[in-house]
Amino acid sequence: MSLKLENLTVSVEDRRILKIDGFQLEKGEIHLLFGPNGAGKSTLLRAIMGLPGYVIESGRIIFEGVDITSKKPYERASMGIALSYQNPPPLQTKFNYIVRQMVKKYRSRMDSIADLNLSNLIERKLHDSFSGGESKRAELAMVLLQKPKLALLDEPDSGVDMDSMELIANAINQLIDMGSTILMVTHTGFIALKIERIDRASVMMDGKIVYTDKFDKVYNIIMREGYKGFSR
Amino acid sequence: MTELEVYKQKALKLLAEKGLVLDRFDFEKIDISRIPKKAVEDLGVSIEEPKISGTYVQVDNSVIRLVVKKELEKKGVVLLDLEEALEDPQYRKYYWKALPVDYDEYTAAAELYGYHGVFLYVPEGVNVAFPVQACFLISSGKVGQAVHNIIVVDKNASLTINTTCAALRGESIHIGVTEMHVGENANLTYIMVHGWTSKVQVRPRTGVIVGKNGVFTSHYINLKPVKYIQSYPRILLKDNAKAYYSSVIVGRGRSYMDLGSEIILEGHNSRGEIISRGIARDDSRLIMRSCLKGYGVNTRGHLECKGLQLSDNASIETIPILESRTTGAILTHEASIGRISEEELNYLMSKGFTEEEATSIVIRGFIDIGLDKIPKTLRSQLESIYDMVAKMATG
Repeated sequence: MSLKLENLTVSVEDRRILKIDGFQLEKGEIHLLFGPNGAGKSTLLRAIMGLPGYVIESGRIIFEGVDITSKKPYERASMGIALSYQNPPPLQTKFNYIVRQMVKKYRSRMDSIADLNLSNLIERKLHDSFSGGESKRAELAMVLLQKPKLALLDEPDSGVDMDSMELIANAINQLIDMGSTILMVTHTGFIALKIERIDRASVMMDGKIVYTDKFDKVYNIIMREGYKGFSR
Repeated sequence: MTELEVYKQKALKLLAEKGLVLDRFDFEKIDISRIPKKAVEDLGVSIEEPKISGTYVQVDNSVIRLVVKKELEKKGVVLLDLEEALEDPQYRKYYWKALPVDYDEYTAAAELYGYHGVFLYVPEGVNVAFPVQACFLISSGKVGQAVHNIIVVDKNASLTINTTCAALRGESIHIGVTEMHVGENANLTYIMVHGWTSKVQVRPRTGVIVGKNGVFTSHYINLKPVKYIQSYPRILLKDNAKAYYSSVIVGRGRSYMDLGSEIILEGHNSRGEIISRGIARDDSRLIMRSCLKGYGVNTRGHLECKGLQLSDNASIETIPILESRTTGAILTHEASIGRISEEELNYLMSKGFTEEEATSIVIRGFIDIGLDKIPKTLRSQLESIYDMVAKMATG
């Protein structure tokens, strides 16, 4: 088992956003998370990463058999969890410097920078005036540097052009090849057509996971009926 | 009375008026028997380095190394101890010309108490490819080190000088007068790294004159605690001359740092830019001054001063001054003081960095004022100093 959520409630600014009764990911599972805007998909990823402001009111997050509910984000990262942000903040530090620190920390290689066509951005300040596609590619490159056991990917395919989409799909395929478990939020599911394998998918509505099944089955329902099919 | 005697008289008069007492320091201390060789090397002075054009190393009040590459000597490049240079009238003519001897009590003290200093002359049209390095070290307590440096880059010549000033221990004072003359179409890059200790007082006094179409680039880094440092280089630009002055200072411990610079845009079409970054932690006090004076027609200047406050017990004051005396000057400034952004910290921590590591990464970005104006040979050295500054600012 890679990840297990038990009776998890999460609030942000005193407002309860998530209530997950039970959810789990097998090791190496590729799992897509669908849902309408505001369903709580990004909140779930951030809560798993342990970002400040995402308060666990009750329940537990178990990662590889260890209760990480009260662990700090950097502890979770060092245990093998990585998050690619949907809208990362602009930094004043150069991408190159951050990459070098990550390479040192994770003993990884810089290949992902060239693979994701980021060499021309490496001397720029990270995410500072990056285009949507550039930011998404930079996030994926950093996830690859972390060689994660569990990758949390927050809409890696939204707001990117077709060329970036191709590179991002390749990066996700690399994660799959290295055996990472992946929990990926996607709005459109287009990325699904380009990646090697998807095992299961879930649908979130109003802060709850309302449906989980094989990916094809979930995707067909969404294509046929939209999300209203899950609100029953 | 000779010219040199006039200077001495002026200095005596001023020092008597100001009443600066320096009795407790030994301005003649010479004891090189106990100098740890490693200490000089730790300052980045690489004596055997082939990519160095010349070296001057002074410990306390002894010059322990003074050498210039033979091929440069053949081209007329001169590197001398100032005392020796003053004996030659063609070099003595630069003495107290970019800065008056009675500028203040410290210039006066340098005249009266000082021995030694770098005299460096690059003749017309000579391009000195690799940097000249100068190092001033105070090895123990009670030392008074008063030096006077003169750097002359003649017409169409170019030079990079890399200076390190440091102390190992003890309560001491360093007074450093530096006069720089950049000739017409000449180019001088001046890098200075300070690494003092918490009991040392430091009073650099710098005057620069940049001739027509000349370019002066200066980069200053102060990375260790100091008791009290006060410095305000004055850079005078002639027609079409350009100056770029950047500095990165870190206030640690109980350091009192009053640092800045002034560019006088006297010549037509002259351009000046001052960029500074200051970090205040612990109980330090930072005063960051910068001043642009637009006197010439069609002059342009910009100054940017940013402070980062890391402790409630520290303080930062930024004092930007713009002064214009012509309708043709365009001068701008931006100054800000802030703290580390939580959003950046949280982002970095989610990438696996501890709070301390994340803070260090943000600081590394804050002090990154760009090295594109610095010669390539020195960039990697400065990059590693920046890395050290970022670590020191948090550790």
